[in-house]
Amino acid sequence: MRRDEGGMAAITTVLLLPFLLSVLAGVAQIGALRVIAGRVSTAADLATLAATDDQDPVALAASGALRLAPDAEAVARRYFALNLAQLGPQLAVPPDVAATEANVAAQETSVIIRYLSTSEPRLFIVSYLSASVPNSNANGPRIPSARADPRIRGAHRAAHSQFS
Amino acid sequence: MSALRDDRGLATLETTLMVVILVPLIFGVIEFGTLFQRWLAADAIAVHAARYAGELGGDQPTLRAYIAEQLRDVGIDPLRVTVEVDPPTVTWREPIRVSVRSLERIDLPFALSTSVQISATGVSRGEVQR
Repeated sequence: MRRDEGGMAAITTVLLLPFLLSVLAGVAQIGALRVIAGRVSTAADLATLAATDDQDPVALAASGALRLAPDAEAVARRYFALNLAQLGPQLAVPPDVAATEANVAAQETSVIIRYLSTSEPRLFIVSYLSASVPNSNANGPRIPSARADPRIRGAHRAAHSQFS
Repeated sequence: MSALRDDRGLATLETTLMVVILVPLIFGVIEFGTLFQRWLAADAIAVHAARYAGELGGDQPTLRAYIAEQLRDVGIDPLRVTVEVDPPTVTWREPIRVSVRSLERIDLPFALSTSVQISATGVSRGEVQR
């Protein structure tokens, strides 16, 4: 005797649909969190670069040693907030608060930003981010000009290699 | 045997239904992957353009040419991209913001065709003493 299986497909679909939609939503949210984590990391990179752009003129005159400017930590926090602004409501806290909460270590020639960010979906703690950029002016104060163009272009091409 | 139903045409019907679901799904993966790649590329371009703008001291033709070249390298038509540099001229230690925005088209067969705006912004520090 063959049983009547009429309607089984519909029942199975209805039962599985919430599960499948949950998986789909989870994948989408994880993807969104990875994007946010990447952008926070980029913001930290730019902030550390901005903070290491300037040197302490007193230390330079006294010993010839290149040291971070006294306001390096404040600069790092300011630029971290400015670069986080594009994330807007995707972060659980406003950019200014995030920059204040970030652990910024400015030591002699390097600036490190560590920030544990949370996002609105609140599924996972996004990531533990660290960006360290040593003072790049090892051979003397930077001469403000477009001289750095080839260096930036080179860095850009290196960054692009992951997409090609 | 009268309980046996006529299954003729059922496979065709199921295939048709699955094609209508699976094809948009597959194209969705491809289209969103491409969109994501362009978004990441635009992000990288905005970051490096912001640093370059800081070095140049603001919005200059060389900056625009640099951004256009980099956009072309990643397959984005520069003509479809809006680039904003704020402020147009920056002094030593002041922030400069470069934003890159473009409308990217997404076409999913049997589902939707729409445009999605991707935008990326980088803020850097002016390095020109005026």
